[in-house]
Amino acid sequence: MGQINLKELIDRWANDPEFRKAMRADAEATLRREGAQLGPAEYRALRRVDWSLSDEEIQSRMSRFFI
Amino acid sequence: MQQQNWCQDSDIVLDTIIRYPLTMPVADRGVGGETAGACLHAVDEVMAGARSSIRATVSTPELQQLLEKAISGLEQQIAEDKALLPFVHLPLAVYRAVRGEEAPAMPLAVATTLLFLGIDILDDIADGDLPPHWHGVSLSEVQLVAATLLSSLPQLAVSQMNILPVAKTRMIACLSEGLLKMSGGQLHDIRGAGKSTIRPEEVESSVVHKSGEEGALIAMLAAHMAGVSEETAQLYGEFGRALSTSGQIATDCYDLFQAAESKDFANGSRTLPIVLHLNRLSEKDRKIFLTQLDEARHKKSTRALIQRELRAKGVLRLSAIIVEVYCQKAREVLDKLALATPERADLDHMINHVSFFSKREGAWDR
Repeated sequence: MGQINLKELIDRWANDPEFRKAMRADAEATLRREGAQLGPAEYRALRRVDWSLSDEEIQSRMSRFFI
Repeated sequence: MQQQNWCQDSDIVLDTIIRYPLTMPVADRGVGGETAGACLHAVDEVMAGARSSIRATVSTPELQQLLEKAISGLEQQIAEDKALLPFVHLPLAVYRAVRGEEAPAMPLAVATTLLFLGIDILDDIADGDLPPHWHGVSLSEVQLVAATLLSSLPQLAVSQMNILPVAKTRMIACLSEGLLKMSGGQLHDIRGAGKSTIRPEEVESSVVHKSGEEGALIAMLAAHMAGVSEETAQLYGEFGRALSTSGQIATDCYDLFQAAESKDFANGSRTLPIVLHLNRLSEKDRKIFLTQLDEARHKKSTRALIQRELRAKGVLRLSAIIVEVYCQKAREVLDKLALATPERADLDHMINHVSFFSKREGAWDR
């Protein structure tokens, strides 16, 4: 069983369509199966991520906090 | 309860503004007439308060003029960009979370606005990127304005507040400690500018120690003003740090991917998304990308190319997730503070404004 961190997670997301499909179906189960090495706050943050959003949709939600 | 428009009276000076007794028990905080979003409309009052405080406390006309020019420049930026203003809304929201109302914290919002303005000017000087309203003013004079905004006006404002001496002492100490921490963060920033070998962890650390500490300082000032214990003030500081760190990374993402005119591309700034990508490239691809970054300082078509590459390599998504991690840290501090839902509403709204995944839960509307 492999171990991945946040950056590796995104590398897999960018390059592996099957991984993307699995994450969209059940992100938490996929991460546990992959043995993801994530801290508690990272895990809880990832639960809030809407994996069905495309990159364009995420981009459209960007806004400034600092002017 | 209607918000008092104290800033509209030109005779009001800073030391007559605060007349709100800090004796209202937390249990008796009024909810009639005030909505959780009342502080959303505070910006105009705070800017007017900033002008009033300068007129009341700065006796040198030439210095007053320069400081008012700085305020006008900030008002211009605010008018162009309807962002949430952490230097206005964060102190009000924290004070409200503790005391149930934000009106007594308006002078603090004035002080933190002046503080933010000083930091912003120094940032612009370091980036070689002073906005047009400073044309014709020497760099020495602009530096003097920044120094005055950082080192005297906020401190004077706090010393003149009608609050308990222990709160005043804590706020002054907090200001000094916070500014020292931010200086350290700014030094990292200055030394990192233009480097090709900076690591993502270093950039993230720089954001925490600069923007993060600014948020921590603002939140702690409000918490101390509201009379909380040192332990609780530290928790509010953690909240401010996490919120502002996520906010800065979110702002950097916005600048890179959404802004019509990207300052970071123009200045060659090595923000987190850029460094995340640089760090994963081979030596050969890194050299190509660095050349593209140089070209992107002046060429918009190269910017579009870089944006496409960053999206394709998952950098946009990774950056959004890192923002979410810090948003989650901020939420968890609010859980530790054990605030009831109405008390934490504005603070939650601020987190949701920053998060790219929580927009549906509440947008920040000025």
